[in-house]
Amino acid sequence: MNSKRSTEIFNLLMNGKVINKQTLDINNDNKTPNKYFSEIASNIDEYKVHYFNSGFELVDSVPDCFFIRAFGEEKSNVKIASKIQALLIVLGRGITQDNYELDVMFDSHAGLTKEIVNKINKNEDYRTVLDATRIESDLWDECKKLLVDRQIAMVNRSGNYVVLDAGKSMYESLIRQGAEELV
Amino acid sequence: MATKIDAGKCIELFIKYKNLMFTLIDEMDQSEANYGVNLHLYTSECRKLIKLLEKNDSTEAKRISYAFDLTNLQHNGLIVGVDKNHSSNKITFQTFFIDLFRHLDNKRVKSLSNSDYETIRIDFLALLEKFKTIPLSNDNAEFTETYETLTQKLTDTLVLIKRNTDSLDGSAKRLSEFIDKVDNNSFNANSNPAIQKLEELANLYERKVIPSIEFLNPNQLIEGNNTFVRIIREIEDLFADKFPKLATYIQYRHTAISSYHKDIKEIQRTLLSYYKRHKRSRDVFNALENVFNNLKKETYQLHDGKMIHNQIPLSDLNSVIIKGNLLKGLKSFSNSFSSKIAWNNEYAVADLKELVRVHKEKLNQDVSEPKQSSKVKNDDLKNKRLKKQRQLKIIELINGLDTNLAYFDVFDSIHSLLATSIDNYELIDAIHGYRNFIAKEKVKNRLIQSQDKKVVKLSGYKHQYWRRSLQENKTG
Repeated sequence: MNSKRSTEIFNLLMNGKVINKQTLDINNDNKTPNKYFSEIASNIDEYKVHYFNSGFELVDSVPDCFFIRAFGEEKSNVKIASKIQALLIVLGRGITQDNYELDVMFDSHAGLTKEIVNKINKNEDYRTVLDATRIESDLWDECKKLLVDRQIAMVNRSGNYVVLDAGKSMYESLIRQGAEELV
Repeated sequence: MATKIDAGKCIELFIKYKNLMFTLIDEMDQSEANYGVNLHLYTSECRKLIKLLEKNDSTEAKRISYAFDLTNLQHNGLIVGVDKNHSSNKITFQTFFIDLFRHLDNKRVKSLSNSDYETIRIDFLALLEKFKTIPLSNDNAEFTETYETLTQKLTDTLVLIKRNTDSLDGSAKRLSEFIDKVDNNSFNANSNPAIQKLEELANLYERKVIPSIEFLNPNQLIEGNNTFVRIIREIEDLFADKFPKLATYIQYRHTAISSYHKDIKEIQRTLLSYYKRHKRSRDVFNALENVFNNLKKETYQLHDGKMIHNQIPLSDLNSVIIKGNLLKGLKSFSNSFSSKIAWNNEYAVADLKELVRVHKEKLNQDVSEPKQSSKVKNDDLKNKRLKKQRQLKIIELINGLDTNLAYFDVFDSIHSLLATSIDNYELIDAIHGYRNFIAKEKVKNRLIQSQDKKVVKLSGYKHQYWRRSLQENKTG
């Protein structure tokens, strides 16, 4: 374990952020391996014990990302997670209905533009769903709070939000869920 | 009455400005109409062309307006009919006229559809049935007539299949080049043409390429029906004994037609990755639509007055936003949290309670104490000033330290420096100086945290810390 990185990881995780396998290089908008992810992945057992002793579970079951949750909070603390899930559902639906491929959100040189987010926000159906899932009226700002501030997304050089591995894993799970019901 | 321009000149002008016809053919192919061209589109394209020509060559513009006029085209027999009915609104060109332009650009050659193949198959099946019922002899006029029809049909089919292969190849190249170009361009916020072209490409793949492969596949199984390949083989077998030369001729033609199977397989391979991408994109679209519709259903149920404040309750474990949520339990933000505050003392709670008690007591005293006199105020100000001066002195001393050197124990070095340099030195001065030192940009990145726990004692106070050393700055 690298003590310097461990301290930085501690700060990130304790502040409710997610550590993704890849991060965005702000110099060229390319995706690069995340040093914090590699640090945890190579010392996973130690990190698990470390957080276990502090009353947290280091979650490694979601592909390509790590985060922590307090013991016993998997069922009780769902407010943030439910908002993130609702936001991703609405954004994904909005993007694909507007004839874009979902991959646009994960493309580090493309990402979610303010125009498209605002367009989604103006749609009555989407807005009704967002209201019912506790997402505030400024959708662009909510994307920042729920995705960027938690490192589920990052801002690229064009100022667009690029959804990272954690968000991608959530979409994969949602797509599986949606496809199963279609069969 | 408008000036008439003869058919030859008209065709010449249409060929000269062939892009107009290409636009019309593209629109026609998209709407899957046979030889029916959108009247509005034709008129607007003609107007555009005339307007463009008027700028440089008004005579040519006039000539075009006469030549492309519908009455003139009807007069010359280039169009079969004009249907100005609001719902259809089409002009029908002569088949040869449209085919002429298709041949000018092989990308626009009309490819064969399932129904075209079925027509060919039925024609050959009818010929086979006929051969089975008539005596196979050169003396039989009906036989020679049917045989002539067969050879003509084989030649026509060969031409059709060749044109079809060229057309598929052209379309596949055009679409894949377009998609690659769009993919390489930067993200356009208003539309995504790649998706539309992928849709077109998937249609081409499903409706044209796959039927072509199936039609030419020698091993294609169709329950209850004879395939084209099997029909031809059966005809060959019928002729094999009595007319071996005829059988060989048919075989040659058949081989020539079947040889395009390989070419179309190649086109299929080129299109497959795009088709898969489109298929995946459709699957994602459908799955997300399904998930969203479930969420929408939950939301609209709230409007029936079932729920308070119209928000989906977080206690509903079957809700789309909770069921299968991977981030369940994700820690909330704790902005006030800092790893620097560590309550590692076993009496931490007791200490905190004592701290709060003392603080509250002090607050009460502040309230109960009479207002400070001006002398006390002045003393306070003097103390503050002295404190400030002391802090500045510490900073000055710290700034005097060479940040490029290596320090084994940064805190200890500062402690020793300040202890010998300032009057009434206290441990808090070292802490103040240390914080100042490690905040320097040059220092921050070179600090190395160790596992050694150190304790410094002075005048009854104790300071515990983890030793941090500083590497030598070789660059600076």
